[in-house]
This record gives sequence, C-alpha cells and structure tokens, in this order.
Amino acid sequence: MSSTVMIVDDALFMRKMLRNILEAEGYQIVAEASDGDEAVAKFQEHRPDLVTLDIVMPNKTGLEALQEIMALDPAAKVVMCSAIGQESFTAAAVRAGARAFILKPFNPELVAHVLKETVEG
Amino acid sequence: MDMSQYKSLFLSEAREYLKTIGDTVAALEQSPMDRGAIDDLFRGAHSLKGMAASMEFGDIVDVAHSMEDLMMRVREETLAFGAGVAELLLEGADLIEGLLNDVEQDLEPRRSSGDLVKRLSRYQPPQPEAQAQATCRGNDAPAAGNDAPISESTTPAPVPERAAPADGAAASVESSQAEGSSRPAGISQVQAQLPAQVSAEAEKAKEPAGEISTVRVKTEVLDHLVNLTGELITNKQRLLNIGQELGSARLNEAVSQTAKLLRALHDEVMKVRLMPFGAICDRFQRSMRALAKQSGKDLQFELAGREIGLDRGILEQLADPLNHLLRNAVDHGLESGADRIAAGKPAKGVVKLSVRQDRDRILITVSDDGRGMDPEAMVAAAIRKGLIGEEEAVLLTPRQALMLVCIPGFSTAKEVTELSGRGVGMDAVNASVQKLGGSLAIESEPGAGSRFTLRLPMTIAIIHALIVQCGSMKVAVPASAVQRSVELRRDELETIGRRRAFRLDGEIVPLLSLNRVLGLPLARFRAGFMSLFVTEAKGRRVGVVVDRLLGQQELFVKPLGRPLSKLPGVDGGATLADGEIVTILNVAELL
Repeated sequence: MSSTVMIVDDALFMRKMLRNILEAEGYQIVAEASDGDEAVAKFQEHRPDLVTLDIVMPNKTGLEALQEIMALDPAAKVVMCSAIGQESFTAAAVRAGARAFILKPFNPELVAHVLKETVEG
Repeated sequence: MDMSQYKSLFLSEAREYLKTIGDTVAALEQSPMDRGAIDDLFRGAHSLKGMAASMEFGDIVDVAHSMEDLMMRVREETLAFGAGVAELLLEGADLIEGLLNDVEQDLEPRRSSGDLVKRLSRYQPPQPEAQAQATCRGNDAPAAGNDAPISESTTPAPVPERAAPADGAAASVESSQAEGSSRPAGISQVQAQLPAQVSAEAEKAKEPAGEISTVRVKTEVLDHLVNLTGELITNKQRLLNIGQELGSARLNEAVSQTAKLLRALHDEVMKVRLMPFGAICDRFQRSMRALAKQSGKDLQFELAGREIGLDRGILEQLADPLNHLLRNAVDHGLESGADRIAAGKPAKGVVKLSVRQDRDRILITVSDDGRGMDPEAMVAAAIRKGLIGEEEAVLLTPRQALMLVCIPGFSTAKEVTELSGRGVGMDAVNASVQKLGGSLAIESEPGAGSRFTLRLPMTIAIIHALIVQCGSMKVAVPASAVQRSVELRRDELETIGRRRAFRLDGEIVPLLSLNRVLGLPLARFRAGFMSLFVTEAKGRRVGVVVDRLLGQQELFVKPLGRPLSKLPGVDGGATLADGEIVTILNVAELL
C-alpha cells in the first residue's frame, strides 16, 4: 500500500503542484489543508503517513500547526516547505519535530528524494 | 518540469492575491495598526513570490519579494504603515497585474519594474518631499518602463466601441488601429489636461489591442452579480407576500412575471460561474494510472462528460469525494484478473466516471464492473459491529442495506471492507455530497458491479428550503435534504423498542425531535397531530419532528464567517422575505 500524505499550503497553486509531483511518485494524497487550523483538524481525522507543511499561512502558522501535530502524534512525519529567506524558522521547526525541509520553488526530483527518505527513515 | 499546465491556475490565484492586497491596503489605511491585516499583506506578497518563482516569472518574483520585505518591516514594527507604504504596495500590485496580463497573452514582459523594486526596498517613512512624490503615483510608475510618447501610446486603445454581446456568453470588444486614429480631436485636449491619468489608462488599455474577442471579468464582479441577484430574489419573495396579503391579482401577476425574469437572470449569472468538469479530470486520470500500477489490476478508465459545466464552488469540493469513490472502485470493487476470468468476465476491469446534466441537476456516476456489494453480508456485518440492532436489521430494504457503508464506523472496519467490497471514507463522501446540497445513491448487483450516483445542484448560492418553526426559532432545511413533509396523526405513531417511529411506504421510519437536537423545549401535539419532515441521516431515513412546517422558500445562502462557519450542523444564513434571519441547518450533520 502506498504512503498517505496530507498537503498543507494556503496557495491552491502550490498544493496542486505538490499533488502532481507526489501522485506521480505513487503517493496517495488523503487530504489537503489551506491553513494551520485545518491542517491540525485534518491530521487528526486522516492520520496520514506524511505531512507537507507550509510555513507562512493564515490562522495558525506552519510552526504552530507543527507543534500541535507533534503533540497529537509524536511520531508524525512532517516535512516543512520553506522559501529562501526563512532560515530563521528552520531551527525552531527542527526543535519542534520537523523531519526535513523542501525548498520552494519545488524541484520534483529533490522533493521526491526528500520525501522518500522521510517515509523510510 | 512542464509548467504550462499550471498557467491558468497561477493567473487566477495570483489575481486573487492581488485583490486581497488591494482590499487589505484600503482596510489598513482606515486602521493602520490591524495586526491581522498586516499579516495578510505579508502573506499575500509572500505567496505571490513563491508561486511566481515556481513559474519562473522573475519580474513578478522581484516585485513581490520587495513588497514582502517592505511588509516584513511593518510587521516587525521597524516601519509604520502609512500612505507611503500603501502607495508603493498598490503600485507594486498594479505592476504585477500588468505583468500577469502579459503572461496570459504569452507576451514577453513589455514593462519593466523601473525603479519600483528599489523604491520598495529603500523606502523610508514620509518626510515632506516623500509625501509629495507618493501622491503622484500613476504619473511616474506606469510610464517608467514605457518610453513612448503619450500621443502614440493612446492610439491602439480600445475606445468604448463595445459591441453588444452577440451570444450572451462573451461580449466582443474588437477594436482596430483605424478606430483609434479617427478619434475626434477633443480627446487629445483632454489628454493635454490630464496627462497622468490618461497615460495610466492608455497603459492599461494597451494590451487588448484588437487581438481579443472576449471581455475578462474579475471574479469579484461575478460574485457581486450573484449577490445582487440573490438579494433580488429575496425581495421578490417579499413582494409575493405583500401581493397575497393585499389580494391584488394585478400585483400578483406582475410579481410572478418578475419572478420568471429573475429566475432567468439567476440562471444566466450562474452560467458565467460555470467551469467544465474537465478542469479537474486530469488528476483522476493520473491517479487511476497510479492505482492500476499499485494494485496490479488491469483496468480501463472511461471518462465522459468533461464538457459539462459545474459551479466553480461545487467543482472545487468534488475532487476529494470523487477520488475516494474511484479509489474504492479499483481497490475494493474490481477483482483480480484471475478471479475475473474464473467468474467468466474479461480480465480487464472497467471503471467509469461520467457526468451529465438532468434538467437543473448534475449527475455524476462512478461505476465499476467488479464484484459488487452484497446487502445481506453488509447487514450481518453492521449487526456484528453493533451499529444496528437485529430487529432494525429485519426492516432494512436492500437499498438501505447498501447505504450502511455511509455510517461512520462501518466502512473503516477492515474486515467489513473485504467482505463488502467497499472501502474507507464513504461516510466522508456522503457528508461532502450532502454539504453541497446533493444526494448519494448506491446501486449494486453482486458479481456484476456497483454504481455510485451523486446528484448535485447546478449552483450552491440559491437553494430551495423548507422553513420550520422550533420553539421560538425559525430555521431552514435545504429542500434537497427533505424527502417528504408529513403531518402525522397520533394513532399513526408506533413504538419500536424504546423509540418512536411511523410507517412510510411500508418502511419503519424512526422519529427524532429537532427541538431536542437544538436544545429547545419539546414540541407538543398540536390539535392531535405532529409535523415532521423525512430526511436521510447516515444512510437511513429519519422523521424529524418540529413544532410547525412553515412552507418552502427560495433562499439566497450566505456563508457564515469564522468562527461560526466551524459550527457543525450549520451551513449558512439567509434572510427570509419578512426580513427575519434564519440559519440553514445541515440536518445530517446535526443528527
């Protein structure tokens, strides 16, 4: 059975891109969320194997959502999506339990590689 | 990676962000300390930057990035939000809008950001000179990247020569260079007086020059039209009530004519919001290919009705439920190749997704020619799971038995999944469909396959609803959720176990009190009979008892804002003809 993923990003465009990349890699997208609140709620509902989490979002930032998700499931595998210039967040995200980072704009091969390592690791 | 497939999504979403930026700047000018709005602006610029970077539109990235940085300073309180910041942000938004138009028409970017990026990044709080500079925006900005003299740049502008819409769908705005040159001399005089304004307009008007045959309308304008139409329909209902009170045949006749015209207007407005179903089909084809590979099942995926138009709002919410259904069809519906051959079927299974229109409804079916579902096995499993009692089970029709998959807790059970040939998430599918004002029907023949049919309204903004009274409250229930309304005599009431029920078409239907669900005092028998409507919850028919059934009305649904939008069981609000505000209940979610 393929791994299940939830994609969290406030931009539909980004979610769609990531969805296409992941589906081509055989992942099963079980949920999408467009803000931090929704991310936490849908995580609880779907318990995906993997979460990709944007940092800058309304209602709860990615960092806040990450903390809540880790509180729900300390074994959760969360990969943060960050852009250049957000280095200040990375240390905090790692402390909060993020497994890895993927950088925007997405490079499909790189994204696939990072996610594969995260799922298997 | 081929990014061209993302272009239209990029354009529409980028424009939404620009609109948000414009609105938020206006709001911040009123209350400059609003943290939420400051965050929104920062996020808007940030998201634009990220999207443009993915599309490799460097010019847009540069402008959005410098806007983001400027807002970062405001956010960190090293810079106060003032007129200067507002002007720069709007200028940036306008410039990006122009660049998007170029992208849309596959043109090389014809404008440069001039010194805007520099001005954004070096911006210092207003001093007297800076203030003066900020007020003449439009003068230096759009002209900055355009060396052409004003008189030339206005030549190809499409003057108000708009032809009336020929087919109602797209108005044509053909314009030619010749028209421009034959313009009366008066215009150049105006130009001389208002160089800044005209040059800005000329700049905006330049793109369409003769190549374009449709008018682009902002979605906000469409939404506004939908709103106005909705308000008109609410008002029509008021007029109808007044006409009935007055007993004036002439007024009633006029109102009923108006009602027809409004219905036509509503349909036309809604048509503009339609998008072809094909817009979300690519992903299904991809995921079916992936599923076939994963499951090792040889299958043929057939898609019909890509061209059928659906409301944008509905379309967006259909992708997940349809994905669920398709996945179930492959994972649980289709047998393995060997099993199929043993059953005398072709080794290759067929999964179909088809869309068609049936009057004012859209029918979407997902069907497969797999093993089908066995109602008896499902009933037995539901009893074993403790989801229904044995005495209840006896009363289930085969149709009801199939709907058991929609009970939360039924379909997630693995054992049941394998037994019944249906997988996870059917409760979620059913809930999504109901939320859209639609219904789900399941047909299946063991050994021959299953068919899931979603019946959906064409639009979601205007609905027919049943208005009911509960205690001192009036609430609305979408007509799509009401199978029947019933006035029940006391002697028709039955008691089964500890529950009250009644018989409808030979089927036992349990009763529930809406008052109790809403925490209101219980309904009394009025003159010996009780009012109720029959609905479907968790795949079962239920009679919902209310104080009174007040009648049906056309309602214009308004979504609720946060945090009310998160309340379970409430789908929105609407104004009744008498001006009273009612909540629209999602009965299935409440029960």
